[in-house]
Amino acid sequence: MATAERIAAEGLTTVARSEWRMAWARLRRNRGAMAGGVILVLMALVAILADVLAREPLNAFDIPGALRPPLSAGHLLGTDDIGRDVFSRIVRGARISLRIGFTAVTIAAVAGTVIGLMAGYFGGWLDMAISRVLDVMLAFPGLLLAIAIVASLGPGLNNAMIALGVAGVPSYARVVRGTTLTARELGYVRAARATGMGDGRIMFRHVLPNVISPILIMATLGLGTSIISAAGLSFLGLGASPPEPEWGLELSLSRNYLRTAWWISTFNGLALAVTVLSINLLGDGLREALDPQASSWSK
Amino acid sequence: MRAAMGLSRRAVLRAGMAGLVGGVGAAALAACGERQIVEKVVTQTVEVVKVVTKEVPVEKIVTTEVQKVVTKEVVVEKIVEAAKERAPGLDVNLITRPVAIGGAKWNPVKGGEISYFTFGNPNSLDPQKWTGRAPEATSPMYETLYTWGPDYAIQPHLAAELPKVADDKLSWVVPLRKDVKFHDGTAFNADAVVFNFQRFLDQAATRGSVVRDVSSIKSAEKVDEFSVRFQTNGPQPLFAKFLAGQNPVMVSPDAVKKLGKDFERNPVGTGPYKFVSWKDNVEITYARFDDYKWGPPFAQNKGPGLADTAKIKMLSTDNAARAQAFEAGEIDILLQFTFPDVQRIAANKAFHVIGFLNTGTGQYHPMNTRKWPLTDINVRKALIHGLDRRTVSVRANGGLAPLLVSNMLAPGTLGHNPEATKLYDWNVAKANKILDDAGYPKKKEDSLRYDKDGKRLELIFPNTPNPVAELFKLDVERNLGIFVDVPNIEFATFAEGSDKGNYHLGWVGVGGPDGDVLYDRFHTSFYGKPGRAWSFFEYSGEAGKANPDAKIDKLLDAARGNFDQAARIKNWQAADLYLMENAVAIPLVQELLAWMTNPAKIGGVLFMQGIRTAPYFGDFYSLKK
Repeated sequence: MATAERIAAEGLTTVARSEWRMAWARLRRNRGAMAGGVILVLMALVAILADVLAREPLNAFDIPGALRPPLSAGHLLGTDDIGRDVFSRIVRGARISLRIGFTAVTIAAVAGTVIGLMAGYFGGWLDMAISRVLDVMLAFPGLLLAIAIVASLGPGLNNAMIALGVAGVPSYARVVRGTTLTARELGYVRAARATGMGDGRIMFRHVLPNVISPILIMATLGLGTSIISAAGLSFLGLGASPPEPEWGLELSLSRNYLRTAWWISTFNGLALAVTVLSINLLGDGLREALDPQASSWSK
Repeated sequence: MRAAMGLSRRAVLRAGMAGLVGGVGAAALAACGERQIVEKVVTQTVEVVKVVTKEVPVEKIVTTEVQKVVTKEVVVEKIVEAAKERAPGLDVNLITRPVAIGGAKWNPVKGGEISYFTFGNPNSLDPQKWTGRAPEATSPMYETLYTWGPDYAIQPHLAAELPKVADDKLSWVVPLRKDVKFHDGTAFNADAVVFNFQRFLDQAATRGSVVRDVSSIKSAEKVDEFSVRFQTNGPQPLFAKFLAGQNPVMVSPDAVKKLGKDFERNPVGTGPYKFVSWKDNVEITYARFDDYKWGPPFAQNKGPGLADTAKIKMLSTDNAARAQAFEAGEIDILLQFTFPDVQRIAANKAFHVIGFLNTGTGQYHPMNTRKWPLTDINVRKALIHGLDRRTVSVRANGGLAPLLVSNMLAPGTLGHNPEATKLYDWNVAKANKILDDAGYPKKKEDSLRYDKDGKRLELIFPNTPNPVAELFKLDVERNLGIFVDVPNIEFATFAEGSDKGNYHLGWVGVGGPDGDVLYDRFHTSFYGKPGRAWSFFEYSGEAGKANPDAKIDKLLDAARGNFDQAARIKNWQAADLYLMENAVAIPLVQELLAWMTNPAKIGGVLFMQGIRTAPYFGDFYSLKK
């Protein structure tokens, strides 16, 4: 029993290691993905070092110095309508946006994976019940579902993260369930079951590695979507509340100054766009690297 | 404060004088004891005393005179100066005065089209049901028995003259014009007026804004063909004012009877323009009513509308989009709220931006006096002293806000009390001292204030969103060390929560000609009910129930129920002072409403008819080629 288990496990580990190496090699050859990765790492560094990079304290304002254009004395990207340094706020906004993205994706990926694994592995009435709930949730567009959840929880940054996380759960659960249905019939899984291994161990040790690749791809691409959606919620007044320097909220507040102080909305919008673009480039690269056969470019 | 400064100077001078006398005397005694020299010293001393004695009253007189001048004349100049500094080209006026578009002389042109705006689609064109800004969308078509003339003079419009009150003060007779008819040919007479008011007073059917305007009326009955008697709920000295509101407009009884529910989409009134069509969320079109000849007393044009067509276009609630629509020529006149747009358009000589200075309460933050820490008057006073009103209101009111106010009733409002303006100067140091003395020290770790039990001073000011909550937080946390939570809350939820007293602060303002604007914000019978009465000062503890011991009620009731204008003003002034003494609200700014006009496309006179949200359309003419 122990031998069978070891063989199954070792076999899988060897294959997996080899596949990861190949994927990394493919990813390195993808210039777009690497550029995206570098930008994302830079953004992450900016987020981590925000307090060092920001030129002014978080809530410093100066009414007489309002609406100064870029390259004004002491203000690389100008000032907003109450004289706050736009650069400092964008830098701090990176921290908020990335935190929202990672948190929402983590909630969605972890919860979706567990639910999908259980549905796919156990099948039967549990699978049917979970699948029907997922069907209902998938019937709503993700952002609409998030708005509905925020409406019930109340607006706020934390609630926006939870809402986006919950709204993302069905997509992960559905993919994981499908992959699990296939994986649970594989020989080594059946062998492991035959050896009397517990369900939990089989699920997380032998089935889960099979679904890691799609989860990783989804999570990377979902990170960009989550950041955009969180910005959308804040833009609508359902996410971050003033004076947090969240990019979507900044875009909403700077709308009235589009024609007179273009720099506020432009640079916040650029920060958002560049971040999401880098994540998408990396996500696409990961997809090609981890699942080359599914990539249209590889054909 | 000046008195304190005067005393201080006197004290200094007296001390100086005493020192001088003592010093000179001592020197004299030390130098020699001859009688002649002592007399010389005394003479010098007397001269010093004379100077001091003269200077004190002179200083007092000068200060008092200057103050009188400031309150009577200089205020408007100051406002104009401050507004022009912020938006060059802005033409600042009192809202009670008509203003010529483009500064041009009255030179009417017939024909063409004029276009105005409203925010969003009206919920109904029937005054029995409408709410919100529907009166703005129907202003070319509907008229009232009375209206506001220049300088807040109530003038008869569809009425022939001002109403006459009965000896018991409980009923009024309104004589009607005999030359009026509705657009559908129905006669305008006592039957029509009674029909309209019976509709408004039908509590089962009436759901619109008109309820408030007719709340003082008990019944309406025909006296003869052209006069109507109104019974009121108690003495109502402001009866004519209520009828001059923009909601109790006269509609054709025949049209209502014939069309039933469809009347709200096919309205019939008496105005200089008649209804043509209503495209939802796009526009309402009116055509000139050729038989019109009963323009109000203030109007330049007493006859039919000058343009062939008047359009009310429904614009987005998005400020930037509205400004673009105006600059692109989609509409001829626009009320705009965003400072950068006002600034830019005012600087453009192709446009004439008319700023109207509003009366009433100005914008203010009602403070919930029943929610800790605002239960402590020291905290409330500190907030009034310490809040930088210019900073907090920079995004509000188009950011123009040229005049900061320190009391409830803005200058120009009947009942404005200059004494109430002297209670609070903007003084951050004084505010912090009040908080220190009241036992709320700042902690070094976070620079925020805590009470003696270690509880942090926290205020909840929901962001609905509004343009001031964030700035309030930044300013109060930085200058006073009081933490402000600004959760995002949808306005309807916020309003409901505020009615229940769940939050500390809000941001409101109410326009009006006199101190009666305080009534539904501070009379204790309004607390706990839907509305904007959010300070809960002298609250009875039971929603909608007046507190029999409330002094503010006595003042507001005494004003509202008094037929003597001077006595009314006296009571409103007392109420203004009393509210400020008890620090129930933080006054911010007097509102400045900025109307953008395009003199190349529209001419005539812009007059807002008192507190109405739309101007009189009979005095506009089209200049489009």
